[in-house]
Amino acid sequence: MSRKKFNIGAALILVIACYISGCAREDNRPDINGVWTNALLSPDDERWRIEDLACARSGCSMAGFKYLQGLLRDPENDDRSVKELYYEMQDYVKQQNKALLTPVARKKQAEYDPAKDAALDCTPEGDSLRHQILAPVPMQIEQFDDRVVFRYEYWNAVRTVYLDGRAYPPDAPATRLGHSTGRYEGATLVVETTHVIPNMIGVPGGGALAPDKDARFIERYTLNADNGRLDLELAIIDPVHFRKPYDNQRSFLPAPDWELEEFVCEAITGEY
Amino acid sequence: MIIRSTAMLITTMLLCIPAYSHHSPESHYLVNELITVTAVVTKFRLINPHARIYFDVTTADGEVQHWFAEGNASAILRRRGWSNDTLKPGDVIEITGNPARDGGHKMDWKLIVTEDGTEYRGGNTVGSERDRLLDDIEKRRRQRK
Repeated sequence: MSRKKFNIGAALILVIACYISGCAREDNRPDINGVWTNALLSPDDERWRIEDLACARSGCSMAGFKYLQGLLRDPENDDRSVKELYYEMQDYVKQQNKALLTPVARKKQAEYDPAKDAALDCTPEGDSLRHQILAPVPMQIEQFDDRVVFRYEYWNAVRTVYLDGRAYPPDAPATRLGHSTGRYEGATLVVETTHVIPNMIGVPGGGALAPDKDARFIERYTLNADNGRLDLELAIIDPVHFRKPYDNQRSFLPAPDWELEEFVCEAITGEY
Repeated sequence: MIIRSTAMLITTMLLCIPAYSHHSPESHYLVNELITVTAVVTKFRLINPHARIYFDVTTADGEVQHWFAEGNASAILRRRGWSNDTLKPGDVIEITGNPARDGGHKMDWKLIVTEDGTEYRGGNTVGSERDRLLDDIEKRRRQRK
C-alpha cells in the first residue's frame, strides 16, 4: 500500500471513529454555558415575548403556553387584551387538564390542606425538584464533555447531569434532586431524572400532591439561535397521578454580566 | 387608622397552576382578598425566602398593633433595584396586601405607597395582583405594535 493510500485510509477511519464516538454531535451541541435570567427577574429586556412575560410568575403548562402564543399571533386578536387572551388560555388549560389527574391524584388533591404547608423552616428538604428547576431565580450552566452542571442560586443547589451513558444506579437512594442523565439532540439538551424524593408539587386545579417515587422528570432545553433565548420544557411522567405527562415551561435569557449570589435564607418559623 | 377590606372575588386560583414561591401564598393568606393599612415601618428585612416589612398600625381607638408583611425573595428584589434602605424605620407607608388566613396581623404585600407618593410593588403576583401585571404587559404589547 502506498503512503498516500495509507494516509487516506487512516483519515477515513478517523472520521468514522469520530462520528461514532460523538465528535460530530459535540461539535453541534448548543453552547448554553453561563448565567441565565428569566422574565420575572429582568422583565424590561425587549427580547422577551409577550407570552414569556404573561407566564413569568405563575408559569404556564406547555399546552397553555402554545395556545397563548397562537392567540397572540392571530391578527384577529389584535383588539383583544392580553388579559382576555390569558384567561381564555386558562379556560383552555382547565379543559385540557380535566382528564389529567388520576383518581388517586384527585383524592390527594381534595385532601390537600394549604394551611399545613411544610416548607417554612428555611431548608431545601421538602422543596420539590420541579420547584428547584422552575424557581424564578438565576441559574448557571457549565458544559463539559461528560456532564453538564446546573448551579442554581435557589438553595445554592448544584445538579450534575451525566452525559457518559451511565446507567441509573440500581440501589441508589432517592434524593431531592434525584439522579440525572442527559444527551444532546441537535440544539436541545435532554435531561432525564429519576430517584427523586416525592416532595409536594402544585397541580392544575389547585392544591398539591407528592408524585410517585418512580416518577421521571424530563427536561428539554432548546437554544434559539436567533436571539439566544433558552426554552425549557419540563414534563413529569407519573402514571400513578397523571394520565399524560404533566408539563411546564419556562424561558431564559443569557445574563453574562450577572453572578450567582449566595442564597441566604432566614427561617420564618414562629412568626405565623 | 383605617383598615379597609376589599373582597376581590377572582376565579384565578381555580384556573391557574400554583405559583412557584418558596411556600404557597394560599397556605397563609387569602389571596383573593385585599386589605390596606396606613403604617409606620419599624424594620425592613431584605432576605430570602421572602423579604419582610415590620410595621406598626394604630387603630381608631389608639391601640398600636405590630404587623409584618411578606414580599418577594431578596434574590429577585435586589436585582430589581431594591436595597436594604428602600424602606427605613419611621417611614410612613400605605401598604396593601392579602390578609392572613388566621386573622393575624400579617399580610402578603402587593403595593406600598410612601408619603411622597412613590409606589413599590415587589410582592407575589398571584391572585389579585395578576390582573395588574397583565395590564402592564398589555401596555408593552401596544408599544411594540
